[in-house]
Amino acid sequence: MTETIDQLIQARFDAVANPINDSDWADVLARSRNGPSFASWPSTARASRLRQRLPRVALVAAAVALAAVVTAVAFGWPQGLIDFFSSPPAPAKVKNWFAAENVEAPRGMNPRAIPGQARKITTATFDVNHINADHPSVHTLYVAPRRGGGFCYLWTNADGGCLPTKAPSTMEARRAGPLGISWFSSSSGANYPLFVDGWVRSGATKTVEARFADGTTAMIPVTWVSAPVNAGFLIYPVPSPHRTRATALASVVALDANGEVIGKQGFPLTKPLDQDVMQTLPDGTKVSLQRRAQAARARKIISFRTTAGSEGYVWVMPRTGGGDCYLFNRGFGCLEPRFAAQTPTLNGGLLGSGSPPLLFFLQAKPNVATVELRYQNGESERLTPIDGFVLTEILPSHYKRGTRLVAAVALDRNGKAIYTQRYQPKDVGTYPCQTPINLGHGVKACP
Amino acid sequence: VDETVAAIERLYRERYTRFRNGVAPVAGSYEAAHDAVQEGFARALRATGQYSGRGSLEGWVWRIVLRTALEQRPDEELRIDVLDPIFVEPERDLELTTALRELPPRRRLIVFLRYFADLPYQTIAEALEIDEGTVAATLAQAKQALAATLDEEGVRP
Repeated sequence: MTETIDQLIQARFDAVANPINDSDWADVLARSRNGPSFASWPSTARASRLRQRLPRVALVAAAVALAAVVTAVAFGWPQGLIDFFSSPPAPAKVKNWFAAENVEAPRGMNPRAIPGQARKITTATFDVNHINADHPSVHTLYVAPRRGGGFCYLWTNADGGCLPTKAPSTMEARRAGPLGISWFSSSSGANYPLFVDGWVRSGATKTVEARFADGTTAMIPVTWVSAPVNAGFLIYPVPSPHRTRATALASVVALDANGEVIGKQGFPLTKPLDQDVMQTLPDGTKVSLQRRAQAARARKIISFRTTAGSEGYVWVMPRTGGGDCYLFNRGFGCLEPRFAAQTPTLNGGLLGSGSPPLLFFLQAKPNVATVELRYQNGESERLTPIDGFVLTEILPSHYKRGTRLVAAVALDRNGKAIYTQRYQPKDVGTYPCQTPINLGHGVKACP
Repeated sequence: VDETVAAIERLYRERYTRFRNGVAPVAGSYEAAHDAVQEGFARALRATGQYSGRGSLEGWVWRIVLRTALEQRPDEELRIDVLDPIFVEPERDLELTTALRELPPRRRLIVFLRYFADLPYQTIAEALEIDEGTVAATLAQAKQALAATLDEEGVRP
């Protein structure tokens, strides 16, 4: 029996073992030739650490030099090509950050960054936290290649993201071409970009340009990084003369060698009705909602006490221009009149954060009379949508694996199943637990 | 020395994946494990004169690779006997991950070397510089604990 257990455990390990063979004997030989003499173990360890420090001294010098360049070119962005593998390795905590991103990603969304190959690319001084950009600080750009192509990047204390292996096929992505731009705008009413950053795929792109609403343009410096990254990185704090609606940054464009536009990222201004403003619900609660949501006419359509003692609630209110807006424990949204034709029969799911209460929220089309929740252990419960909404608590008796929610089934007035929305009971971090497990790299979550 | 170099190369070519997978819980990731195996074998090549012939060559190389993996970690003072090895891709089998987390770290390391690196008891003992009997007893306890935890998942026959 012991042997059988041994084989079964071995099979379990075999199933999760990494089968990829990335061995490289030539690399071992090269390392053995380049390494220090090997008198004894302790001295070898010391020699190894000394070798690691030498590049760090050079790195400090490089960073100082870059900072000087940065200041000289206004917010600092040295142009040129940086050889990726000649760049200093990222420190352990940055590698760990990339690794944690892999571990924390939802099922099917692991960016598969290669933390061990992360490199420090450059530093720059800028401010993304204040509307006047008057508190700049030094930020460092780190880049890690992804398995299968693409890369992930991190601006310390600012921004980060991943370049997909293949460009998405959406119309917006096609318009953006080689550009991947994100931007910051003020939360205090200014709805034009104050700061943009991002990347541009190398290849046809020769320059990147900022275009303003008043017809003026400015070149955005790009730092290009060699293979396997094959992209350029840019940051661009919008100059103060362009922080008005009339002169705002309207787009960032990528230009080829002939000056032709091969990619464009626009920055549509938020309509005044879609801007968030502080509003008051009929019970006196103050909340930040779109101006379009008529909070004074809100109705609380669902209210119950959870097992954790908190209130579960849904407010519904008219939306200026048609449709409804809603507010519930975990968010706010608006449904335009065309919503009913566009969205699935059921739209929503578990709102888990690993701690109780675990809420379940759904929007249902008008032809749904009942929603049946089905669990792994064969149990089920039926709920009636109120004004098209369902909000309920998944009780602690359904937290354990084997008892979890697997499907929400929409039933019509005749009790006929017309739509099934399935849920993955093995998703990590959704269901509350007593003891989160260590996923590695400092990430803990409930299984 | 030439024979030892040839044996090290043969060991690398035949067992690379087992080395990388077995050291990954110590290194923290497969990338770091690859680097530790590459550097560890390079060190072994540079130190062939130190291989005494007592114990297996594989156990000796494992000791070097494990120490290299430890050196590469940011917590430089870490020792193998206080290491907390992790399952580097926990999402691939959360039940197994949970079961492993319930084992004491030392026992967990021996389990990783047994099942990921496919090492016999003797080589584990040589790699960790402990008695073979200790390895056998530790693995017996670990298997009991794993079988009990994984019972619902069908490990127990």
